Amino acid sequence: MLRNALVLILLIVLIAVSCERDDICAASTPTTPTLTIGFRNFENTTEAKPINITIFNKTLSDSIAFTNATTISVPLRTDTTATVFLFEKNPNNPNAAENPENIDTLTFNYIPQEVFISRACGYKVIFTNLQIRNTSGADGRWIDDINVNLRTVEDEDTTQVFISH
Amino acid sequence: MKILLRYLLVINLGFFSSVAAVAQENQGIVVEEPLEPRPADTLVTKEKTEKYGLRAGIDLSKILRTFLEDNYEGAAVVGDFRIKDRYYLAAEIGRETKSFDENIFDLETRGTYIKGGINYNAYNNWAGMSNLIYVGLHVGVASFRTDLNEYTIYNPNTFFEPDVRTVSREYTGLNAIWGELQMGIQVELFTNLYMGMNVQLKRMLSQKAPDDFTNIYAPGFNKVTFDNVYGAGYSYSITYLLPIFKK
Repeated sequence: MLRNALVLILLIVLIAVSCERDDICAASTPTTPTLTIGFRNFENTTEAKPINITIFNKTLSDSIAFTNATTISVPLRTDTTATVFLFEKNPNNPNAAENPENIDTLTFNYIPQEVFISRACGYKVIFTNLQIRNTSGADGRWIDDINVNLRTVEDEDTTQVFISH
Repeated sequence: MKILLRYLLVINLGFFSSVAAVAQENQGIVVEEPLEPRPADTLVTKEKTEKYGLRAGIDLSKILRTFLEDNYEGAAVVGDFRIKDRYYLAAEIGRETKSFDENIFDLETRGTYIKGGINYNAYNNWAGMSNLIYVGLHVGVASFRTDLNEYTIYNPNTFFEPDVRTVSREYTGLNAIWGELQMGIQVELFTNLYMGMNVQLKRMLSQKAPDDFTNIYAPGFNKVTFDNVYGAGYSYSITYLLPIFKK
């Protein structure tokens, strides 16, 4: 009887150890959001207008490309209060009908706020007080207007910024 | 009818035995009364074999884990006292330090705990043996602190370098209270020396966690899972029984 009890207890211990929950952050959990930007027609700002665009970081060492997109998402730096991006319209297309290979430099300013999510996901950063400046020279800007729809970036379900071109 | 027959039988027996006694006396045999009354066989006092006393010892599993696991350090003293035939008052005092070096955190939790409760021995021992197969209901209280050394902002987008933040946040004055169901055995290996093992199912009753963080470990409780009040644990112990009296 004692021996049986011993075996039983050992089994329970093994099961308890093997069933230990994996602390994996579920993909459905909202974590650090990206900024969602929608592109509109400058002649009618309620109308979406697709764009071919490549976004470079400040040092041009890395880029993200989108083709025929009306909505894009870009990451913001979480370790500082500003992110600078170079937005190139119609990249690699010197013969485009409008704005061939035209680069505008945008500076995104915000206040990063650290938020604790959970044991598995740790901390995320959300961004408040978003402001955008087009810091490229006055000539040849392809961006007609920037409209910040929502100054707080805390999810990826909302389009926070509209750019008309 | 039956009752009547039984009465008749008793009366008859009484009659015949008195007749027989008279007959014996008539034969000149005198039955002497013993000088001292002697207890009848059925009332022989049981030999006192049930040992009552204080059983105290150490938690072996915590010592073993201290040696085997890099990120664990712990020690505990365990003990129980037999209060009734099958009931024992049990207690445990210990301290634990556990560190986590994961992708999103690098932290250390350390503190002390005390557990107390009642164990019920469900095992029917042979005479003279005192092994236990028991279930116990305990309450545990832990007081601890967590030092957060480093964490990384969780960001599924990898365009920029990971945002690793080195800090030295000290969350002190944390505590936890839980209820615990224990199932275990205590086997007497040598006279008065016991080897024990048990499993513990726990339910968190209340905890004080940091405002901008969570408890991921509590001494004595083991891992604290997020959004879940249940926990589990186990232990091995070696104890010595200091017999105080026998029953």
